[in-house]
Amino acid sequence: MANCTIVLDGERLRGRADEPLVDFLKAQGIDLPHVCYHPSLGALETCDACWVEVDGELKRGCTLKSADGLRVDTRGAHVRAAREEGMDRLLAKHELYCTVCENNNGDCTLHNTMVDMQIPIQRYEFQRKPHEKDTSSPFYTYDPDQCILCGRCVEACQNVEVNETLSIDFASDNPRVLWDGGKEINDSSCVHCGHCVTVCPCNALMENSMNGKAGPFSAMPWSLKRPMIEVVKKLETTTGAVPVSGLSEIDMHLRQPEIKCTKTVCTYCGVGCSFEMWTRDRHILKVQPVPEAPANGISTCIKGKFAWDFVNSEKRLTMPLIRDNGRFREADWDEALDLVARRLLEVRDAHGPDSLGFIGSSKGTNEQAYLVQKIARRIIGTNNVDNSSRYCQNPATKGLFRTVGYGGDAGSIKDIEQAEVVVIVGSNTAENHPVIAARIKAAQKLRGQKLIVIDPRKHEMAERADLFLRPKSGTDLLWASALSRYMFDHDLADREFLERWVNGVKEYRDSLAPFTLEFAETETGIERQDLVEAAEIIGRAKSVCLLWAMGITQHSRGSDASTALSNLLLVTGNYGKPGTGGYPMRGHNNVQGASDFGCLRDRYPGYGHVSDNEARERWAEGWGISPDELSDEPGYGNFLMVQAADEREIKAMYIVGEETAFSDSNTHNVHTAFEKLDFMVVQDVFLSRTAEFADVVLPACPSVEQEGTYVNTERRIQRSYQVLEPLGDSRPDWRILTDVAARMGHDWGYTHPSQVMAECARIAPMFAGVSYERLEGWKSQLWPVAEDGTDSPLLYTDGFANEDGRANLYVLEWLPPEEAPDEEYDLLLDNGRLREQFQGTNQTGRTEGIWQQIPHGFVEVSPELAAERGIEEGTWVRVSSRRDSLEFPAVITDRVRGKTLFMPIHFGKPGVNLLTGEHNDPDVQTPAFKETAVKLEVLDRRGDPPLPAHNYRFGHPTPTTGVEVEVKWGRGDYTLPPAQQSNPRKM
Amino acid sequence: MAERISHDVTPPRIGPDAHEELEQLLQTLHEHGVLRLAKDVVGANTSIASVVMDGLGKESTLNAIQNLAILGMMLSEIPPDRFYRVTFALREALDRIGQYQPGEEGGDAPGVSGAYRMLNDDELWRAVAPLVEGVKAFAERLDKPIDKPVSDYFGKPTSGP
Repeated sequence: MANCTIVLDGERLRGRADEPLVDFLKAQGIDLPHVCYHPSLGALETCDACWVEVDGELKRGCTLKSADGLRVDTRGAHVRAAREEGMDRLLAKHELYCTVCENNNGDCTLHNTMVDMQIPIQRYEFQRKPHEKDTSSPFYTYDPDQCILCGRCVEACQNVEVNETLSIDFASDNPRVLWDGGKEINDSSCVHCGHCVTVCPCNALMENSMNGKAGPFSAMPWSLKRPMIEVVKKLETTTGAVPVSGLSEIDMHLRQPEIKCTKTVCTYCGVGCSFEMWTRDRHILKVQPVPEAPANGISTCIKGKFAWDFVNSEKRLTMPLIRDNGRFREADWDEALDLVARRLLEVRDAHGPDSLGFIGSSKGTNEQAYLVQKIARRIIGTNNVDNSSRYCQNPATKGLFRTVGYGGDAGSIKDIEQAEVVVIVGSNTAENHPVIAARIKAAQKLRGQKLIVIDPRKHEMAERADLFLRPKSGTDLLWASALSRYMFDHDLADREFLERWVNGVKEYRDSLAPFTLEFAETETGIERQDLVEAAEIIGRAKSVCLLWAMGITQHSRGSDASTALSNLLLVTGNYGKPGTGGYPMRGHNNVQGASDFGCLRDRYPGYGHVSDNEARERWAEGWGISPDELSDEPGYGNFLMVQAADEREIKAMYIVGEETAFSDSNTHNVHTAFEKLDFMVVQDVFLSRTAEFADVVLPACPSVEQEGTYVNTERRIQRSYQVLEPLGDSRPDWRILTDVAARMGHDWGYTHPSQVMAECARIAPMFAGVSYERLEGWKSQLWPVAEDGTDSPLLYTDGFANEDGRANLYVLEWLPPEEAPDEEYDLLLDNGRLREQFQGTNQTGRTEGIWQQIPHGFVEVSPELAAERGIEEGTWVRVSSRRDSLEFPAVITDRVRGKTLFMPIHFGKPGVNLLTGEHNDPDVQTPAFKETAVKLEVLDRRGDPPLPAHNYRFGHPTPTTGVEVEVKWGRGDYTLPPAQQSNPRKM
Repeated sequence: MAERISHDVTPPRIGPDAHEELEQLLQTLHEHGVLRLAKDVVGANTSIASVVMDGLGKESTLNAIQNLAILGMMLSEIPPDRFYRVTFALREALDRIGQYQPGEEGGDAPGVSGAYRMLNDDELWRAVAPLVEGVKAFAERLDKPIDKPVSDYFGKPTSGP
């Protein structure tokens, strides 16, 4: 970026050109007072506190950009008066009671700016506004009496999260922030993502978790605080503001030794949000995202921002449990670890290495995953090691391996943002990867990005799409291949790219013969002209990113469908350029990392194949053993492991942080298999449904109680720091695994997870330049990482990750889904996540507010089917598959169509997998969770609507361009500072 | 056959208990030297008490305490704005006295009426003149209307915090 020199009050300053003056000066260590400006939101121009003079004219500092020759005066009486008038107007709207305020923790922009400006006394008296405090949300509160109408929250909601719920009615007599134009927060379209709270410069919008917890005086009841405030206000009329501000400064400093801000990485979805977690003792005050966070900036979702109560849940496991005469008894670590080590070795010695199976956690750290596979491979001698990517993402990885070579997203979130066209297929991105969805929504709203959604389910992104195609479930290979053929037939294929980079073009083109538009139309149900429109948009775009998720992968031909999508990208030349590529949306926070770091049945960390001699020798050398000691046979993935346990081939299993008893398909068989095991170890934070089958349960720490690294869906490796001490006698995963290994005779001596990463980086070329030092703070690295630390935000810029450096077009054959509706089981059951919950609710289920949003499970029924069967909202229905039945109340919605039902995966002890079957993708053995034929019986029972009326799905957003400051300026009573304002509280 | 077990975990203790808080407090007091000071104070309590009592028992100390109490009683009955006016009038009077520079005409006695000798005593006049200036300033300031002491003090109007 170019530099420039500006002159500030006669002093020459050199820094980055074309930066907002506020940021330019900040980089020089100079604070230009400002309140509404935020680097992630830009210039809102509402606070009128950052005035400077340029050529004798007043300008807002947030709107000025640094440039050579810019001469700025900040010291003249006129400009100082203007800034002070701006601040006086803000203070007229905000009651200052900082010493007893929860927000006076050093990051209150309003307080800090007022103190910095040394305001001696505020010009305008604070007066209450005729609005009540809104306490309806279980997560945050809006206090109109504290609101300075800066509009940061509105901008964040309208143009960063793009939920478009918040607005300010500047034209009204008593403006305030409005939800859906005037609803209560909890009765609006608010999704509780927390953006508004994060950017609020004062305490107008504040996390409820702060209440009574932040400062030494803030815990006092309001019955005491109020008279204290009144006394100080009275004294202030004589003493002025300075001594009172002094007190609040002292209070702010008093809080610092107790409050800790620690960077951590979210352990919900695969976006990989990182943020500061503010704690006091064990209490989590708030989650505070920052602009520097590489994946998410200031963004979060309801779970990342608010669903952390599980950390301090009384249900946490804090001491080992051992099965003893049909019950669990508490045990000490020595006894538990000795038992685990002894029994695992006994099983190995008695039945051979392949009689054991290991499942690493896709929520745990990379170091955890590395150690799980090291124990399996190095100590036990088996490749029976896997993670839950088997249940979701392996088909996507397979599709990428077949075509472009790396099993990960082709680029970063930045590429998705800058693509001309984004295609979302089988991904409910707004609910499952809300922050990435926000980036797409913003690109579409603010920069005209085209959005195509292809999905049987009409979710939020489908409603926002420029083109929404609704195929029959499981037919994605067809339309994708038909589009590929269309590209060739209509000269939209990128011939130059294909010639330069791609193998098998002719064979592939020939194989497309059956995939005519007519055939695709017949089989997919998408009208021909819609297919053509999609093809034209994709084929003519300069850059296309294609995102897919479990709507594609959890089918009996998920690998083939994923391959077809990657083929389409290759045909159109959409790899290796900014704003292009294939993006399987990884579901769990570290499902990418668990695979990257070796929890795969056939891959070492860094994806060397176990049957590849070079890889085997490298790992053997790295671990100081003979290659013969490492098995060259691919092992069982977790799906096959469970089946092998059912057949008594697998005798012992060690499961880390996975809810296999809930998330694997056909629950009955999974439970039977677990009951047949000779020995089972579960290492987890809670006594999960899986842990109930264990012989030994080892209490592990959640992410915030241990250090480690994670890989998000972008392939971005991020470091997470320890926020809290382990609760009770729980321990970090890496330490438990190190201790288990030591008791099995392999004392690896790790004393910190950085040593585990260093070892892996030394052996796996993909991670050669990864180190904790290079990941310090907000730094991150996207693999592959060269030895000098150079990382790879965008893949395939100079070739593909195949032996000859070229991509491969992969010939596919269309096969129908394995399980489809028939006469008896006449409906298709789809299933998936909701925004509010995560997996089996082991984590999110400990946060009361989450249950307030969605109190219990339900099944979505289309309006057509509801009318046909006489189902009303809240009518209970029994849904039966060939395996079993579940009963839930019905939600009638056009999110589903015709004879397709949808059931969230989160609810019930057995859960939706009581119904799903074991039919699976033969290439990777991912169960076809989304191919379940069911029948429906209407029960004679009706309850309240399962989705409460206040749920955000019933809200009515109010889209605007953002903060409408022009309306404020257009009011007849608005005057430019330093002129005084007749009614500063009104705008 | 490992049948599923339903089990309630022993609830862990969340956060520090009183003893741990006390331990932290003790450590902080120690690190900041407060404990040492307190220890020294308690160790020397008799001697310190004796010194304090010696001081308190003196008539001048007792006078000071009683006078502070009287000031407090008086201050509690004066509205702050009136007190502000008087005290700042006094401040200005004192300022004027301190800044007094005898001018050419001010350096001479008026010498017309009153005690002839006094009026002709230039030295005495030079001594009294600053006091007169002070009284004038005091009266001027008392006459000056003010909105709020804080506004008058900072020169910035306010309708209240």
